[in-house]
Amino acid sequence: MSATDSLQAVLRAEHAAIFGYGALGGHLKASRRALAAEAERGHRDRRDQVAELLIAAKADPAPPERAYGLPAPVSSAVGAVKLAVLIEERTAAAWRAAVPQLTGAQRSVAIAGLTACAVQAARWRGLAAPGAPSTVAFPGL
Amino acid sequence: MVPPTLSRRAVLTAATAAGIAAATSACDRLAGSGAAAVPPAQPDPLEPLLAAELGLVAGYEAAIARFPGLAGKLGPIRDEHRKHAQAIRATLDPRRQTAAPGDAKPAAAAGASAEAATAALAAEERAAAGRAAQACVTAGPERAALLASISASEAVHAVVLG
Repeated sequence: MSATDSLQAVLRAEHAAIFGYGALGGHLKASRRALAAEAERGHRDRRDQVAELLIAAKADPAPPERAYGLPAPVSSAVGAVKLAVLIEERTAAAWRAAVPQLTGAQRSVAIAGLTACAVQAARWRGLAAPGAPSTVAFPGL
Repeated sequence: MVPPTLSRRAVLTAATAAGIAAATSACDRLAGSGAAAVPPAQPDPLEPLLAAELGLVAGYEAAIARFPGLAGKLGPIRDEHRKHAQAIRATLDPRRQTAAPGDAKPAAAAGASAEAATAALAAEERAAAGRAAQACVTAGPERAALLASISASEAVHAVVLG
């Protein structure tokens, strides 16, 4: 996979993440909406950052799909938190997969993207299962 | 006034491994010697990261030993550092490996209270995340993803320890 292809894959993952937060937002408890808003803002910022990297590399940034299939329909607060965990794990995986394909400053962007998604995944896991370990040894793997 | 007691605190002993540069200087050519010069072995850049992971494991062990109430929170994080160490070791040339679990010294002092111990570990995690990210940027593609995950994991630890 080329650097451009891996950035396009990250961009598609960020598009899907933004869609996912839109789908789950209304099901969250009010106390968790601020975290969702912060996480979604992070995905929008990184989407824009990746699109700019692609434009700088003279590639056309992949557009978002009109809709994305969800792993399960979201109908409850519990389901919404589970989906948020999954969204962050999937975007973390896309960023991790891009790391070896990128070099220099672009690789640093990928490390930061992976880290941001890993932090949000841990926060959501902590809400999904309070008291259980919320971290993983190898985020994005 | 209580006299200061911090003077002998262990200071990042793990980091000293990073400072050990291979300083093998080439000998001046000996008159009459026909032997080819043996290139000095370059230290693997991941050796200091391995030492730092073992130092973190030891730091968590020390904190748990001193404050057993922290075991539930710190034990899983310690175990993740063991996995980091294992994964780093798997990428090293076995003939050159030097760091062993017995060599590890706690990266962070245990602290005077559970809160202080946790804060010291969080600071160590932030530093470790930065070192792993730095190593990732200069690593070859075969190691870069592992180092990125380790850096991200340590950044998460710092957040969780808050």
